[in-house]
Amino acid sequence: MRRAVAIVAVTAALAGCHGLSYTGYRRGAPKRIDIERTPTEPVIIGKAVRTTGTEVRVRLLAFREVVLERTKHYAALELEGRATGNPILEPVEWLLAPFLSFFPRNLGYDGRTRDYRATWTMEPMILALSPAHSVFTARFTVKIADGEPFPSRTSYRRHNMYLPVYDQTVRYRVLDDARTELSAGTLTTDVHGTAIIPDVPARAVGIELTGAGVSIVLPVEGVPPPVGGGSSAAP
Amino acid sequence: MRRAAVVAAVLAVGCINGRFRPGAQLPARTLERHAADLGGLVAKELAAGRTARAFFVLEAEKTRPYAGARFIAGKYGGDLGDLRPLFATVFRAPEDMVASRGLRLTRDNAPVNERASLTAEADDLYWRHLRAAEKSLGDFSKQYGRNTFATVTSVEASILFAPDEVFISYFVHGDEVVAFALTGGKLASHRLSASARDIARANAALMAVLSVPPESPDDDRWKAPAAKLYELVLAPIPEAAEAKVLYISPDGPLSNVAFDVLVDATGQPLIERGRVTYLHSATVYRYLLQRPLLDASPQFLAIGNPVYPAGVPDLPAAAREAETLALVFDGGRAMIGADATEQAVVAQLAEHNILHFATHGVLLGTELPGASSIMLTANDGDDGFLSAAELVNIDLTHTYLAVLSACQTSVTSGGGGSSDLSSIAGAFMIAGAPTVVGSLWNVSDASTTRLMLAFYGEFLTAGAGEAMARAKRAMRKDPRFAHPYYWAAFLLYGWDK
Repeated sequence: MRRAVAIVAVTAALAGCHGLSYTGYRRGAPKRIDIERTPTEPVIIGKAVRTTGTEVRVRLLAFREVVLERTKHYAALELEGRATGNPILEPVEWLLAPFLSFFPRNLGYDGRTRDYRATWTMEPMILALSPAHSVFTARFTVKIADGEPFPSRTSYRRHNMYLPVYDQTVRYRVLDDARTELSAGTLTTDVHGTAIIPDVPARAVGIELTGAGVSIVLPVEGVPPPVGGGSSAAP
Repeated sequence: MRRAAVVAAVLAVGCINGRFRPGAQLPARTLERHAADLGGLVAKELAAGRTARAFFVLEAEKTRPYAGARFIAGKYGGDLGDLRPLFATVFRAPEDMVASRGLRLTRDNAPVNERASLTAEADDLYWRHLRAAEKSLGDFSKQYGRNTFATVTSVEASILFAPDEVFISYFVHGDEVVAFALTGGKLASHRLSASARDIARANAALMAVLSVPPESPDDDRWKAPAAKLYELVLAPIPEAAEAKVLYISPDGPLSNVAFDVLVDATGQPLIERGRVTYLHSATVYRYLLQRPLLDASPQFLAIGNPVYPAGVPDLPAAAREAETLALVFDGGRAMIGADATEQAVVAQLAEHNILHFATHGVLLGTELPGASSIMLTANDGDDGFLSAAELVNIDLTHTYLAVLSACQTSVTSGGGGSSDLSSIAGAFMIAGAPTVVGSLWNVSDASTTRLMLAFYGEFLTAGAGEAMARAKRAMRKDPRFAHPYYWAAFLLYGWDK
């Protein structure tokens, strides 16, 4: 018996006990979020509201739809376990070998899940039994994985935006229901995308705006003044 | 034999534990042992030439106030009572509203004491959190930063920033200032030749010029002090010389520096070549990366020109600003004038995820921690001062963005950057908002509307940080608003993409 133990101890000591036995990846925090943003071309929309008997306030907005494609990239740590060998522990490893069949799994050092991925060069139990490898004294080196061992998640969202069209000079024509021009001129929107058109007759029903390559007709909303009540109501 | 097996297993686990993080680090217990003077530990590590370890300790030091406050958000602040009598003193002269230095407070300092005890509780939770993360052998993610404030090492921090981004973390110890620069996976430390007092003086000189409307569109009196401050705080950091994106973790007097406006060797302000985002620390930035971001549609709430107490100037342009901005996103809502009562606004905060305040802010700094406020409409139940202490008791974790288009919402006189209650922007972050835009001085409300429209116009298409930079550049192109008085006051904190 003593001879057998001595032989085993010497064998373990001589075995060198080197070699890569474990490579694992652990998912960490996100390291960056790539966001692809695809806005549609702006579409000019607007509103014309009669604010007083003779004034119409025009508001111009640039409508855009923005598609956000966001990919979350996760950092991962790479762990390499190299058996370095410790002959003193070898007998202990033999005793614990049966437990090692599930021990690494219990600690999360085996298999592949959402958060970790591991590969062993051989079963941990066999490693423990092998005099050429030592599981417990494996030397771990750790670094941040170069690649992305864990898949990134991409999400898509669409959002609408309506931005005021400001500091924009456009030509306008005030129209009645026969599309006859009642008055015309130019206006410049303020920082809120609004401008006032003065002297708009009561029978005006629409404002045509032309500029920056677009032409739109806005219906005049709001209650027109009573007949004869506005200064420019009568032709 | 059984005992030997157990001992062996424990030894093995002991060998494995602690080796699972790359980069220089110190055990949580060591940090906690030096809790009273972590700055001293940073200095000691620096003196010993252990830059990476010094960086690690500094990360812990800078993360601690924010993390602790987040742990007990909901009871970090408190009700300071009716602030109207207090602010009545401030509002005797309008100019005192934004320059409340020398204010003689007659209130007892109970809120200060209350906050001190809460800070101790927050601190205790932080250390427990660090120890728990460190011990979690099986759950590696707890060590490596998922949903955690576990301090990042310089190696872990380096992957958070792209190669063209530079993270600069300032460390002020006594009068000495050191800058840690992290970029491209490399960490360096630079001892600044300027003292903290020199920097504070130079910044005061710059702020004196910036915070008043220019005499003419060509007024360039700001350039000389901006260039001088650049020489003091950025020129000694070679990594910052060409950087397109700077992440600044300020400390001490650097908390109130508008880095965007500093003039480099080319004679141009930094904003022309890049952008600046302010962070508590790299650890907090990593924490913010894990937050859900714009998963829901923008729910925009704009508050404009509430009804102010006597003596406070009205902001008519702010009302129109709120009305217009509420149109930008579907379902946006504007609360203006008498509608913007403190009670009604607080009730709406939970329903909206983009918050815009176009109103006055009042800075009370260290005179009464937590009393710095955003002004809303008072009613029977509330004084109309939405104070920092009240803000941190509101859960804003669903919020994407809070824009404080108000006076001096970023200024802190507590020296704790944006993490203490002396700054309103800091209170929003503690309450859970990942991105906060605050201001360093009283800005013209008409020009602010223009800046904010440009910002929101790019917010979805470029991200918050880039959107703010583009908005500032757009202002510079307009001769009427090219002076930094109109654009440089606004700083962006936290998540910037």
